[in-house]
Amino acid sequence: AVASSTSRLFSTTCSASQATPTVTTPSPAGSGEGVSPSSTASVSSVASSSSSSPINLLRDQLRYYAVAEIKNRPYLITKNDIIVLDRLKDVQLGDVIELTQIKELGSKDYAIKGQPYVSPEYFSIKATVIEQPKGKIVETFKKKRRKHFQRRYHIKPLHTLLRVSELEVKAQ
Amino acid sequence: MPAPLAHPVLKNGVGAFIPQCRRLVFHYCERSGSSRGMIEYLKKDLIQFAKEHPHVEVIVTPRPSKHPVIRGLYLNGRDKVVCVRNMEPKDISGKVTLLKESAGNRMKVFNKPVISTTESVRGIWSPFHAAPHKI
Repeated sequence: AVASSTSRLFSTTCSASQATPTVTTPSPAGSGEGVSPSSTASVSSVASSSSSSPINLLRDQLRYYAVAEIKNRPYLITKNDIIVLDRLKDVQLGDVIELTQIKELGSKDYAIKGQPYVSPEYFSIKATVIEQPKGKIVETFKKKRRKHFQRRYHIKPLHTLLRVSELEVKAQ
Repeated sequence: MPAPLAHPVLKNGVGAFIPQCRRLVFHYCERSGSSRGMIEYLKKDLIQFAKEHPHVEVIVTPRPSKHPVIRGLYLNGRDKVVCVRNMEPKDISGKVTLLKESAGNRMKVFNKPVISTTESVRGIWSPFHAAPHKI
């Protein structure tokens, strides 16, 4: 399923007053990267030289974020972050999970937006299970006034904490 | 409050993962009925648990005329105490798992999906660095 996803590169700086260059890359199974420039002329020079290929432009900025999808929920993460999830039943402490469903991968000025996911040949994102705690008691109080109806529900949520141990953009 | 048993591990999990549960102490009473399930657990399941988790120091001590208790000690110096009176061995092993997987912090409400100390990658928006608003 991942092989059919495509990605779009766009510039996120607000000061770029010209139209942002859009680059569509075909699936990794296809032939090499193709650059289809938008209406502005500035992209046509970003052809096939590897040093200025779109992924390398992003990679050269050194600090990245990613929007990872875990259990159909988005998490905007950078390296060293802690992700708070509902309890995962089939992991142990210390397990390393590789996050492959990445919707967006970005740096300060550039971002790659997956359609629906970014191709996994561009990144390597790993998270370690560090803790599986129980949260504090959460009380839900329901009342319908003048109807003699009130309920108190108490939940102690179970969590899994993941530490993003690696978030790397691979050079193309 | 007892001092941390080791230097605090910052960003646990990034380079290496260090399990936070350091020691589990099992107290039981030889005679009382509330310790029955605990004694059965100690005979049946505890040794296997101790073998599977060599990083946890397991101590079993009789504590006469008291309810059975499991006390977990963590690397940040805090401890968690769970009373397991009148519990079956299955429930006791659930409590042991709870203590083993915890990190010794106080229970808290997790409001946000991501806890982060890195500053934002794209920077804070500023009106002086944005394209002017057009109507």
